[in-house]
Amino acid sequence: MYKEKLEIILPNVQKPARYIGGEINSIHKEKSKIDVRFAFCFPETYDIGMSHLGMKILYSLKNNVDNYWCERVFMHLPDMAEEMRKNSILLYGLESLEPIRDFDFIGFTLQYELTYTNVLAMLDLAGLPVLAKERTDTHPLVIGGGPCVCNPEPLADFFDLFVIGEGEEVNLELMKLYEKCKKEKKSKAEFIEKAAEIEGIYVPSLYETTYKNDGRIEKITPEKKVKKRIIKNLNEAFTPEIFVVPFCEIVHDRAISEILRGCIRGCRFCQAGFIYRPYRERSEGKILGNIKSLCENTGYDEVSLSSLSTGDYKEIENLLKILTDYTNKNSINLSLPSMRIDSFNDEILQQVKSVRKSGLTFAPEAGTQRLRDIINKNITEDDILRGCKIAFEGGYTSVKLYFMLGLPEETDEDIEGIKILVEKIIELFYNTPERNKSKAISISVTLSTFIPKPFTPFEFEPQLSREEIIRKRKYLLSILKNKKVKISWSDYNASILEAALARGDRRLGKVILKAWQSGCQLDGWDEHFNFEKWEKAFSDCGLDMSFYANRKREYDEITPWSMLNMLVSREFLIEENKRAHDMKTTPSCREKCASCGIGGACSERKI
Amino acid sequence: MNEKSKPMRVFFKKTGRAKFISHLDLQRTMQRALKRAGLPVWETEGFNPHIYITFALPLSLGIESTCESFDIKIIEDIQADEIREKLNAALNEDLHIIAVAEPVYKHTEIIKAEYEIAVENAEKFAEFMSQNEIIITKKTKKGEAQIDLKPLIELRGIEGEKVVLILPAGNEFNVNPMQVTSAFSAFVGEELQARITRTAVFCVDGEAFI
Repeated sequence: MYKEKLEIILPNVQKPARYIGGEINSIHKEKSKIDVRFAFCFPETYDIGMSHLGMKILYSLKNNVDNYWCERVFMHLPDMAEEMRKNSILLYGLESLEPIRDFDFIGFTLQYELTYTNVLAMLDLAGLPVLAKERTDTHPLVIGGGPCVCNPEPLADFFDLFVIGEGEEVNLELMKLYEKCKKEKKSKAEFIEKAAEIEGIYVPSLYETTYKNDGRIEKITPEKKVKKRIIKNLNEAFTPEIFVVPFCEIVHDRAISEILRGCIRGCRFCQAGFIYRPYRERSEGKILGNIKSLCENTGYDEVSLSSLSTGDYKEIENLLKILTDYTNKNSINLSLPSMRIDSFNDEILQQVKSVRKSGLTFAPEAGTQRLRDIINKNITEDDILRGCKIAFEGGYTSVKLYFMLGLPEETDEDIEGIKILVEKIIELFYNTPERNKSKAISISVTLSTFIPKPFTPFEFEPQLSREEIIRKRKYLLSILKNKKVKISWSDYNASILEAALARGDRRLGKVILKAWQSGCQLDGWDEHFNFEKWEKAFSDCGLDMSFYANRKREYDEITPWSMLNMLVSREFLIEENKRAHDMKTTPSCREKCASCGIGGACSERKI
Repeated sequence: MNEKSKPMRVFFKKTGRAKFISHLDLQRTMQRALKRAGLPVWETEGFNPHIYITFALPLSLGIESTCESFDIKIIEDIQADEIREKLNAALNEDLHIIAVAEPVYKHTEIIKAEYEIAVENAEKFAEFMSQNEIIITKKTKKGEAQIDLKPLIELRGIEGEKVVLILPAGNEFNVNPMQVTSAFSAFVGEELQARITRTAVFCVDGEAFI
């Protein structure tokens, strides 16, 4: 246990409270009574990782089993990593303060492609070989889950197995199997072989990929597909009633309650909208009960509802009424992220406003109706203006708007469309008599680069080239000159790397290894991101970033992730891609079933 | 404010790992503990209501203490012991409530604090104190200033590896014991590991702050 050693080094690092553990509600168990120890690793810093609901769910779920102990581990910033190395401290769990090298499982949640090098950095700091084939029976199993594993191939070299889909059930099945194998003194290889039989477990070492001369995939063997796991009934799914309360400030420092899972919308660029299908809701009673327990157990005075689209909850107004009855009485602030502009109405605004007023954020994504139809963002200009009008009448004076550049079929007219829309919103503000007259309107426009992702109808699309993205951005800046509008944008380098890793194949393992060895880590942070090193890593491996990012795929190309069955069918994705190019929209699942492949598991499906 | 509200002072220890919780984080931690404990405490009114809490004397990051305190306002009749027990149930052993009582002194009456410093080479501390002057650079509101620490340090004793001393404390003029240990390190000529604990806070009349 590193308690004493840590006391000596922590005065030398920034924000030491994130490395001490022992927070209120953290779970401490007696080691002698534990059969399986699990290190839940979030490959980002404490303040980001501790904000993540998925980690809270799996942490409580595993710790609810008496003889399992799950601990939390986060990415250390360079100052802490250096102190740890100097003082021979290996990466440790925040509960026991013991090295995770001695645990049974090391599980990473993969939320974002630019955290891949952090995985390697953490394994290395834990004193483990980063390559799966170099780890032996004396080392813990290294497993991965989360949205990025819908294409796990770039990480195949580093992991023993991946958990595909929702983790609530399969994590416990896996640990149970492990417990049994451990008692029977089975080898790691024997365990992995048995684990591969569990639905939702993908073992990369059991698969092989061959390539054509042009770099595309020739064949993946065996043909057996791994089907993602889902929780059929969200009301029966495990929900944590207690959160660890951090000592130091984190990004989302509040209670979070999941109200629904999946999405009925089908925006064609949105990976979450497809990989988290089917759409399921949790009952109002369950949500209220959950929020009460969380607030009472944590002392939080803020709660936010988690979903991909809060306004799609069938009884949203009733839900908000029930919730605000409780939150207002207890001076708790209720926040509603992920509100689509078309589901935004006066009543919802009143509910949100009754405690605290923050800025509003809407995501039209594209500047014209034509392009919004192509991406199937089924909102109209009227919806946007109506939503803004309600907000202005309610006293809001600042609006944040998200747009993407580089969408399929995008033309300069769509860029002009952004300018026209923004100007209409400003005009609307000054034509709203009930507006807050003491302040000027401020609009912040954020431009991100479209990144094609696996299991979306746009997985076939090329990412637009750097030159074109820069040209389009400059064009917008030249036509949208208004002191009330602030325009910001994402870095293309990070976007192209994300695009390459997202649709990369197994060969990228070498690139990730090389990039990390040359010093890349914390790639999601501007101040640590080093694109030149990544470019060099690609070229040293004889690979080309734009082959993965900027290349159009034919419908019959074998994708690196084709051994996975995410329930949404390939035929549906192809059909949706064709409809996009034909400028045809697809209605939401609630209006009309689009036969995406989910079938009977879908609660929206009417037979 | 509620007419019936009554001020209460909560004394607590901040030891072990809790010494790495910053002052601002501690404030939030205590507010949440009060909420978890379900205590009838007064909340500020207005746009963003929050539990009223005010600390006597901020403690620097990395220093432990057996004599910290904060004030709250109670809006319903509740025994001091009940507050203590409920709060302890909502905290951990590194943040332990020692006592709860009605305040006697005002925060502004604080003038000194006592520190126990466990430090290597403690036997050289007498020699360190026998210098004519101990000049250090102190950051003040107006910039940096050279000050002589010697007349400010009231040495209470050296026992084995432990030095006990009293330093000026409070809003007006405060000396951080880390400035003393770093001056001592410089005097000894090596980077010394020091474990500092605040053990008492005193008021203008010489009595302990309660």
